[in-house]
Amino acid sequence: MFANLMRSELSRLRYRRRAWGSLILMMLVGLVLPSFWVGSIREPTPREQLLTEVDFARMLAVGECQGCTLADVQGWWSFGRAVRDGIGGSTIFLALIAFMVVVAYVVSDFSSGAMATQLTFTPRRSAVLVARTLACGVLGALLMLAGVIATTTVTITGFLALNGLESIGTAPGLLDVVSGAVVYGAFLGIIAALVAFIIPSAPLAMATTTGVLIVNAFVDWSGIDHLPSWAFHLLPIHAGQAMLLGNVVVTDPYVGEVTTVISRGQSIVYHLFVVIALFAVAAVLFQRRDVKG
Amino acid sequence: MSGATTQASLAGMSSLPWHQRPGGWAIQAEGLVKRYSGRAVLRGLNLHVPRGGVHGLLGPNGSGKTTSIRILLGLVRADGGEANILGEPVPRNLPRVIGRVGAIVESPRFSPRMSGRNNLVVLAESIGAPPRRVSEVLLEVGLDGDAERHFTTYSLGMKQRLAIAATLLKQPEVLIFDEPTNGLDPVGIHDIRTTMRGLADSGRTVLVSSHILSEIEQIADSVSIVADGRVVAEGGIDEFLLESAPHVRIRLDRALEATDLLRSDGWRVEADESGLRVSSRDGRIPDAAGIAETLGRVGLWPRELVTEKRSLEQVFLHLTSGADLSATQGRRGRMR
Repeated sequence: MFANLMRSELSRLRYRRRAWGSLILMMLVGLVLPSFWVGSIREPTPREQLLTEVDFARMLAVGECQGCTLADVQGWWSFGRAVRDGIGGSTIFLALIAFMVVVAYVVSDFSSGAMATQLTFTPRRSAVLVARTLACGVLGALLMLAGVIATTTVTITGFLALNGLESIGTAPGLLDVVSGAVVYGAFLGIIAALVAFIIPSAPLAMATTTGVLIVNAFVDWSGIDHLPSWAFHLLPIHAGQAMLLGNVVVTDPYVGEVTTVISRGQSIVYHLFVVIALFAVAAVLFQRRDVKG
Repeated sequence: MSGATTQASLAGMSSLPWHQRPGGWAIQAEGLVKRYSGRAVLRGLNLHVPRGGVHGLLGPNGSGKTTSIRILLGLVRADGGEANILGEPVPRNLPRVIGRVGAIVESPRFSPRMSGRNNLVVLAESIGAPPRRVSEVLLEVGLDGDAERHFTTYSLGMKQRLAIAATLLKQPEVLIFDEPTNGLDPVGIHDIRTTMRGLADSGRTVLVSSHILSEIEQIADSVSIVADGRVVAEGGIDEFLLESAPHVRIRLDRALEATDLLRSDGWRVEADESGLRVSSRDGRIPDAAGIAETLGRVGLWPRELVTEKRSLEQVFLHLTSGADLSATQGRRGRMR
């Protein structure tokens, strides 16, 4: 029975115009995002190169930007940096859109009454919850893939156009970012679906998510004294960045000291715990909830 | 379905309370209770739907009909009581029996941006029904030509037909329709009515909830009347109306003589332009055969003698008005 339900959920994804529209939306956003860094993906002129080296020497002399390298202070990006900071960095924005799309996708079935109709066919609510959640994981992964491929395509095209065919080389880290985005998309899709089952109201679910992100930003940027390093491992944005980029280095915003490093493995464990916790809550609430449509 | 019922069948059926009659129940509920924000919507509802035929669930808006149906289908949890469908307790064993139950609860609910066909395909896949079944049910309800259009473009009648098609995907034994004719035009109402009667005639059990009494009266074999969260009366529709019939109407010559005779026999007799209206003083059902025999003994032969049934609407209003609810409780052993 679960196999039938899963097949039905994947068909629902295929037939819903909203799902296809969302894919197109993600591609469009992915096409636009590189405009934020396209100005940096060019080779410097000899004068710019010289000025940067002089400035870097001055910074070393006065003790500014401890631990920095020449690559960190120059205003133009190598392709590797474009992959990490451009494509990888902007994928967080794609992730937020994907999250909202999945929440809306799940909530719409509650509000339209389609969920009630489905339950008159498949009353085992736990099976419906699992199948719908897994299907949303697929949707999340596809959305992120569409967005990151569009971003990558524009970035590569721009780099080749500005710097020539020899400028890219082996494209280090690109596959890592793309695969990280797909895995992150899958996790986000699952989490978004569970949030929607817990809070089957799109405005309320979005507001709750926004609240979590605001708390994340506050903790991250406030420079709270004596905050233990493990607390940063609980912040969803850092966990997402680690998933996308392979690792993220958390530094104190005021003194520049490294607070902690979050690896991709730790990020995966974090997301698994979040999924398990949300599933437990969603399963109980959905089982007990009156579904009227 | 309507029409005079013979005295023999009336005597045989009326002696046994509805909920004690032999034969299995397709749907049975005992003592269902449901509260929303402290307000009781169901107050110990008992429901008995016989296997086969059309059973009407009648009641005013807010009486608890839809809530009862939602509880049967597992969409809403009851705060008390028990229910079963085809002998299986629900919602505990609902997955075991849901394949034999089709339902439309209030207005049809489907994914609005999917076509009618794709909505059914998704539901069919979820229960493992073969793909060809979708085309079969669409043809059966006359939607095969509009199957590729989005659900949002459907008229209300088309939406109802799609909902019926969905219920037929499972080839169910029991069909539950909640207010299926709401918002439909007369043609649509006729189609739905014909469909429900046809489904019942093919051996299925159809439970239809409605507040449109004339519709139910035309197709139902039995009814349960719901008021204030309880079933106040249940039974075969002909027995129901017959038991509720307050008088026998007689046309005959020598009406004055007949009037005196019947009054001396304990009957209440009123004369009007249509003849004599004979009713009982003590609430007994007027016995048409007995009245005919009384008159015949003295050579008074009626030209016309008929037991007049009140319409279902009259019975419904009588049972669901506040003043009569308490009186009706006392009659529960007889009529439920």
